[in-house]
This record gives sequence, structure tokens and C-alpha cells, in this order.
Amino acid sequence: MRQFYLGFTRFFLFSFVLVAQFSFAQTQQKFTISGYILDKDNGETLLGANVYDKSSMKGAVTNEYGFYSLTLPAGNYTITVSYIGYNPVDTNITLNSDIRLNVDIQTEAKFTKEVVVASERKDRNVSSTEMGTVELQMEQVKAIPVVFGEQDILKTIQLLPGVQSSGEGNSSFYVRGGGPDQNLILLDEAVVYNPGHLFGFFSVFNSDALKSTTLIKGGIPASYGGRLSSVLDISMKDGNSKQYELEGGIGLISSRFTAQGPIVRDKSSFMISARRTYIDLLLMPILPRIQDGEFDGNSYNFYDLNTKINYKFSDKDRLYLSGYFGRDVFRFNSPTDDFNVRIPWGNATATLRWNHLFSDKLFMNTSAIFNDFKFRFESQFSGFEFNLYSGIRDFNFKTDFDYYPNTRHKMQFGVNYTYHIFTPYTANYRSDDTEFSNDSLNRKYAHEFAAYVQDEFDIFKKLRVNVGLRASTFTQVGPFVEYILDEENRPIDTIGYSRSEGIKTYWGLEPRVNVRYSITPDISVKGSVTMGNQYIHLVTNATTTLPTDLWVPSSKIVKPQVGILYAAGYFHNFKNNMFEASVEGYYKKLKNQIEFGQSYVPELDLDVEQSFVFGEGWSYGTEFFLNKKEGKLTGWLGYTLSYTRRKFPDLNKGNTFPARYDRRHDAVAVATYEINKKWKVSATFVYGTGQALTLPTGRYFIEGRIVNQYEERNAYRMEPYHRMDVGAIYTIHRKERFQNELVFSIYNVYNRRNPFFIYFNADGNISEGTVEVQAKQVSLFSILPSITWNFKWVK
Amino acid sequence: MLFEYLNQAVKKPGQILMVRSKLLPIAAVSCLLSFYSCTTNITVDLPDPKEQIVIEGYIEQDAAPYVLLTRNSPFFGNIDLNDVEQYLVHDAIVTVTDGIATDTLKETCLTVTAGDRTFTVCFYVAQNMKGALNTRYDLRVEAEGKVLTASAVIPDLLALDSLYYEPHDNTDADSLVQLVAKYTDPDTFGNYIRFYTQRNSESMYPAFAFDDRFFNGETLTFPIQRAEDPDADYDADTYGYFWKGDTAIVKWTAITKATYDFWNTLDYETNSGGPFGSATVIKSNVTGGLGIWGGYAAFYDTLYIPK
Repeated sequence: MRQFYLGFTRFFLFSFVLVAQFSFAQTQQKFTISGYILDKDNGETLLGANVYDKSSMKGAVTNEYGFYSLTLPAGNYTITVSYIGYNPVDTNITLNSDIRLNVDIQTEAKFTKEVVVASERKDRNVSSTEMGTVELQMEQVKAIPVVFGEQDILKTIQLLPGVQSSGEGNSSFYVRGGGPDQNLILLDEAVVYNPGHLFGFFSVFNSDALKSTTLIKGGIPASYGGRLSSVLDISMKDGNSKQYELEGGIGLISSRFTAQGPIVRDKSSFMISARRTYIDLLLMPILPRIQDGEFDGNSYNFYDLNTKINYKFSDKDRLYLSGYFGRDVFRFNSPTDDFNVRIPWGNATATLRWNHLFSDKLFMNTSAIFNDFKFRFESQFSGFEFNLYSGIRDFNFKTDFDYYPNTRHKMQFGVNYTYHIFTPYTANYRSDDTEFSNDSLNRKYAHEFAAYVQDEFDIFKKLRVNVGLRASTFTQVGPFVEYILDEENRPIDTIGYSRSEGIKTYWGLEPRVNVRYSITPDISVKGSVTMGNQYIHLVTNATTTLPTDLWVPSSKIVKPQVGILYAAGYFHNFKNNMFEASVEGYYKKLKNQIEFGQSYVPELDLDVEQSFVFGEGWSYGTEFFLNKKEGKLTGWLGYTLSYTRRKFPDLNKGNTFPARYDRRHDAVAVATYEINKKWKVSATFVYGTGQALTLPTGRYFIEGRIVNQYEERNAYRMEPYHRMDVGAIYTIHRKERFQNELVFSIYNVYNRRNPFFIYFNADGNISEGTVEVQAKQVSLFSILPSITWNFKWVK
Repeated sequence: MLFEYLNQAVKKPGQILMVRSKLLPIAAVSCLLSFYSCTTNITVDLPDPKEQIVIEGYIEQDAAPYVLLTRNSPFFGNIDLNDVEQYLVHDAIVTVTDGIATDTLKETCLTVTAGDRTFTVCFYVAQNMKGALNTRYDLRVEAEGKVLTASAVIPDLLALDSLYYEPHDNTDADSLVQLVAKYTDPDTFGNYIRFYTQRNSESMYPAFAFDDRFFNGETLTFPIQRAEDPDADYDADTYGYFWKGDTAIVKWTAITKATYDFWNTLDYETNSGGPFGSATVIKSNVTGGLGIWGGYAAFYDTLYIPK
């Protein structure tokens, strides 16, 4: 691997030299067209819009702030701007100097007459070097039915090949055999550490507040780092800069409300979006009456708030400030005594961004980002008080440059620094005369730094490459007290580290290469190699993801995870790009994977690292994808065949075992059909091989208790998971100023009892010889109809 | 069922100290589950385990060591203590040595009465040897073509400072009291305790095991929950409490790390399950088999709770 690594780096440096030579070889007089592509109705910048010269088809794609730059030889051009779901716009220009061209485009839905001119540049699936990359349109997300009728991007991405749900109704996901911590989930560039409400049944992302979502599951560009398996990059709406807009929805268990509008027209706008569940309010009157009041005293709710403002100083400078705040709160007040528990948890993020245009060819974004995830457990019982806290907090500063030297090249480079504060577990216990706290035991601090450069360019017309190199370092720093333990894990000595004193540093080079070879304009083959280092880790002991799962940094004991992904694919578009088809194969190798030891018991008084064991993993598979993007019927079919394995010296007697993420077959069908202007119907079907889990094979007695004996790890498979959902959207009004609609959905239409977990129930009396052990399977959601009313009002 | 876990966890502030983090969210989910979940009986096809001998061996100061030898069995099937015979390992050669003297334990069978039933249990008991504090004992078992070995240490005694009771915090439940212990931990790390409680002439039941890393060298007071027969029906109102008029006995044993690891993983494994559970492999100190050979430095404290 090391040798490969060096060879790869050399190849990479060589190709950069090549690039430089290509760049300087050009002499013809050239000028640059640059600007922003905006939505005509609300002034939102559009990311991923195509801007190209109609005759030569040379073009550019807008970056995540809607900026593009296209350099062409002097001459006359028809510049076309196209974007999915929008009507293309042609602009004739005479290029004899650098031109600023901002283009407003309008959604297709707004047009009353038939649109004849179809956009000609919809072949990005085939023409780009990107692999395993999907941009989700929010309109598409909103049309797909999910549980409780709550629109949810995380549930939607789980319908893509290579992406698996981590469990029934769970918003956390696994990509190509990687763990849930190997997904970089960004909301306006801020890392979201825990993407789920209510143990993952709902995602923290309120889709009304979102503008775009991009999932990258392979060939991750060098501009992203710190995670091995995928990037989910989500942007919030900037806020309508033209007119005021109110939007909302009332659902079965939650409601949403969003307001946006100009502060100074075309210069500054705001967006604020809130959501809250009323599970607690609905259940309050019922709880004491069910199951003899067994659930009395419980209450739960979640809420979240997204907000964003921006200000355009000039065409060259723009400032954005955005934030997210979400909380889940569980309460238990014992109806019989004074015992009470309060468990709040959630994320908070804040992002301040400054876009600056140094020239028509050089775009910069600088961001200062704060993010925080915390979990608290507070309990009281007759004078005894016990509190638990865990969390992670980051201060992040990054600068990214987009440089467009000419049409052949698109370069990006930047730096990224993060200060992490990890609090895996802080516990304190207080009674009348006693007080304990392990406050200082676990808290860890770290600096993470990365710099990257990447270039996308044509080597020759049919061969396009994207090469990138990312260098990253991670240092755990003080204050920290390191306990030197003896073989019984008893502390025998301590080493104190002062503030900012380095404890352990890791670094790594992460070369990335994506190559695309066009066979015909409709067919291409692509390949990519991606290396990555991941310095922070999520370790879970449960079979599902929980807010109690711990994020831990690399340290003296915990080494960074290293991953390398090889992927190759065949991409084919049919019928004038109406259909996209692809087959991708991958092999992923993961080093320094972390699990809890096989005899792990949570202990508050031990640094959690002491309970870890380390090993390696690998995954390989093939993904088939057929996507129909246009017409009355849209949707996709996906199928994945994959194998995911782990090998740990201290688990399963050192033998290879299937990872929890191992899923042999995974199939998805998604269809949306527009019957008429009033009705739109949709259906999804998913099938997945049963989850691997460890079940006992034997038992024995200790002190008259029955004890389970475990042998092979993850040797048992649950029943396969499959489910069909249907939905319908009925548009009540679709007027210029006011729109409203009813969304009907039925989750799990044929009432499949999918396994959520398995437990064993021993019934009877042990001394009477009547004890029978019965395996029981718990299913979560049976058939579940729901209805939501959505509205939008524009002033 | 899930909810019982939480109730047990939350009813035990003493145990919250050793908090089982995975129990915390269960109540919230169970609340949701109860509305939408359904449970079905399924058939699970499991392979038979490798046949192994299980040691349950105890050595206490001033008492003869004894060992119960049983066999593991496939996971499914009826469990019948009347038929305990099928699990017992007979005719084993069991020896314990303290490095100087070696004792060969003798198989001794007892007739045990539980309710209206009687059954026979056979132990291996030392003839001459008695345990002593701060001493190591090596066990060797030879049976059915297998050889099992383990070693145990009886550590130094750890005593409670005092045992007292407090009234129930709910004045309506005035017949119940909460037992409270005061304990001063020695100023060295690595003290491990397993304790048991007994109410009047009922059997003594184990509570749980813990270590002192969290409160090394400190004096602490904490509630002692009345331990119950694990098969007893759970009663939320009386769980953990003693009654006025009771004689409460607390057996407070100092154990080694290996013994602690065994009981700690065993307690955790038998209490966990569901979507938040994991398969915990019990840490055994036995080579060549399963189970525990443990040394216990036992301290007893008795408290009469007046009417």
C-alpha cells in the first residue's frame, strides 16, 4: 500500500507539471465571460447550472455559490444557460473584452405555453468526470413518500444504489460498506454530527429550508476531506431577494413554517424556517390510559430552526450568515415518586461566509464555521443527582479558491483548519454529602488542518481528468492527563500535558484521480482512485445509531482510519438524455477500523479508548442505475450487489466476519407520475438482504441464571427487508400568489412486518421445568397512512 | 418489556452510577414502539455450540472452596432444573492448590427443595483447605477428556463504614424504607466489589459488581437496592426497598479484576437486548472452558429496621 501510495503521488506530481505546460502553451487572444446564474423568481443562486457556447459545446458549470467563469477566444457566441427543471436561456454576445454576464432563468412550471426548446446540455452524467455523484432536486425529494408524510432528504438518498439505510426508518446511512461516521454531512459547510431526530426516525434537515443536496459516494474531490465513504453537501436557501414568501405545512406529527424575503431588494435577503413535532401534545392525554399507565410520565418532542441572511455588497463581494439549531428533548417524571429524567440532545451550527471575486477567473469563498453536538442526561432521585454529558464542538475556518484559467481547466485549491473539542462522557454524581465528577478524564482537544489543490482538464478531447491532492494533519493537544495503565487497566502513573501542548500528530497525503473517456457523446467510461484519512471516529455498540454514540478523536491509542476506493464505471444516456444508465464497480479497503471489544461494558470511569479494538475492513460491489429524468413519468431503478467484510485480531477469534453493513442485495424502484395539473402520484419499492447480527448459539447456568454463549460474530441474518410506499400530491390551488396542496402517503402499503430487532423471551418457571425460549421479532412500522397540507404564499 | 429495563435502571440510582448508557433512550423509543410496533414469534435456526464445561467456583476466607461443574447446551430447548442432572459433570478430578498444599475436591450431592419440588445438585467441595485473605489459589479440573485451569486470589477485606436506612420519599409508602450504605474506599486504585443482600430468612441474592475508579479513596454514601430472585415478578412499587420490621443483611465482598470482569460482563449481558443491545462475550478466567473461579473477601453487615 505504501509503495502504491508513493507511486501514486509521483504520478500526480507529474500530471501537474503536464497541466502547467498545457496552460502556458496557449497563446491565442482570449476573454472571459463570468457571472452568476440566478432563479428569476426568487433570486436564489443556482449551483450546478450549465453555461456553454452553443456551437462548440464548450462550457462551465456554476459552483456552489452560482458563479461560473468561461474563457473563450474572441468572437461571436450564443451562450446557453441550462439547469434541470428550468427553461434554458440563450444570450448572444460579442466577445472582445472580459464580460460579466449574470443570467436569470425561470422554472419550467411557470410557463403556460408548451416549451419546445429542450435543453441540450443534460449529459453531465456522461460528460463529467464525476462518479457516484447525485444531485437531488428538492422538488424530486418532495414527491417521494416517506414515513408520516415527512419529506426527508436523508430517506431519499437511501433510495440510491450503494446507499443503505442503517435500519427501519433510520436517517443514518451506510455508503459502500463504510460506517455511518464515514459520511461527511455538511449543512452550509458546517459538519452535522448527528443527522437524526428521535433516534434517526426523522432527519434534522427540514426540506423547506433547503436549496440543494449533493451526494458523492465515490471519487470524492480533494476539496472535501476527513471522511472516507461519502459527502452529503446540503445548502440552505439564501432567501428570496425579490419578494416575500411564506411557506409551510401541517402534518400528522409535526408542522413547519418558513418565511423569506428581501431585506433590501436584490441586495439582501433573509430566510427563517422552523419545525416542531407535537408527539408530546398528542400523546399527553393518552399516555396515562394505555397499558395501565406504564408510559405515564414520558414525554418527547423535537424542534429545529434554520435561518440565513445574506448581503450583496457588490458583484464582487457577498456575505452569508446561516445557522441551524435543533433539539430533541425526552422527559420522564415518575408518577409514583420523585424520580425524574430529562434528556436533551441536538446540533447547533453557524456559518459565516464571504464570497469574493478577485477577477473574472478567480473566485474565493472564506468561511468561519461553528458547530456543536451535545447529548445530556439529567436525573434526580430523592436527593441524589446524576448528570451525564457528551458532545463534540468544532471551530472551523476555511478558504477555497476556484480558478478558471481557460476552458480546459477548472482549478480549485484551499485550506481548512478545525479546532475540535471532544467530550466523550462527562459524568457527575451528587448526593447530600458526596460529589464526584470525571470532568477532566475524557475531554480531548485537537487541531485538524488540510490543504488541497485539484484541477479538472481535458488531456485530449475525449479524455478528461480531475486530479487532486489533499494533505492533512491532525494533532491531539493538551490540556490532557494521560493515564498509564497496568495490565489490569489500573492507573499507575499520569502524564500531564499543558494547554496546546502536542500529544500525538498524524498526517497523510490523499491523492485523488477521476478519469473520464468519452466513447461517443452518449457513452463514457470512468475510473477513479480516492485515498482518504479520517481522524475522528464514531463508535457504536448498538445495532442501530443513537445519540449516545460517541465521537472520538485520533490519539496515541486510536490511529486515523485510512481508506482507498477504486471505482470504474460505464455511463450511457439514451433518447436525447432522457434516460441515464450506469454500471459502477468498486473496491474499498479500510484500515484502522474501530469497534468495541467483544466483552465491552460501558464504564463511565474509563477513557472510552481503552475499550476499543482495531482491525481492517474491505468492501466490493457493483451498482446498476437507470434513471428517467424527463417526461410525465420519472424515477429510477437501482440494484447493488456487494460484500463487506471486517477482520479484527481481537474479534471473532481473528477470523474474517461480515460487517453489520454487509448487504448482499439491495434493490430500489422509484416512480413519479404526473397525471394532470392537479394530481401527481408516486411509488417506491425497496428490497435489502437481512441485516447481519450475532445471536447466541449456546447457553449455560451461573448462579441459576441462564447465560448466553456467543460464538461466530454476525453469523446470523435477519429476514430480508422489503417495503412499498405510495403517495399522491393533490394541488388545490396553483396561482401566482397562493399555492396549496395535500400530500397523501401510505408507508408500507402491503403491511410487511420487517425485522427491526430480534430478542429472546424465556417464559415459564425454571424450577418447574416449564421454561421455553422463544425468538421474537419486533417490527416497527406497519401500514401507516398520513396526510399533510402544504401551502405557499408569495407577496 | 423494554420499559422494564428503564424502570430497573432508573429505580437504581446506585446503579446509575455505573450507568448503562444504552438503557437511556429505550423509554422514549418504547413509547413510540408501543403504538406502531408488533412482535411476532419467529423460528431462528442456530447451529449447536461447541460442547464446553462451565466452572462456577468460589473460595472465601475461612471457608472451604467449592466448585459446580456443568455443561453448556444448545440455545433452544426446554430448561428444567429438575433435569439438572443432564447439565452436571460427574467424576471430575478437581484440585485446588495455594502453592503449598493441594486439596482434591470431593463430589458431594445435595437434595435441594424449591417449592414443592426436589432435585439433586452435585458440587465438588474441599476436604481440608480453607480460604485465606491475600492468597492465590490455582484450580485444575479434569473431566470428560478435557482439562480446565484457572487461578483466583482472595484480596484484602473491604468493609462498609455503616449501614442505615431512610424513609421512602413518598410518604404514602410509609411501610417501605431505603437502605443506605456508607463506604470509604482505600486510596489505591483497583478495588473491586460485588455485593449481595438478604431480607430476613429469604435467600441471599447478588446485586451487582463495581470498581472504584470513579471514587478512588473517597467516602461515599449510596442507596443499597434490595436484590431479588432474578425470576421473581417485578413490582415497580416495592422494587429495591426493604420493609419496616425487616432484618437486612449486606454481604460486601472484595474481588479481583478478573472476577469483577466476569460478573460485570455477565450482569450486562443478561440485562441488555433489543435494538440497542449487543452480544457481549462474557469474560471468563477459565482456560479450556467457560465460567469463573473467583476469590471473595467477604464482609457482612446486618441491620434491623424497627417497625
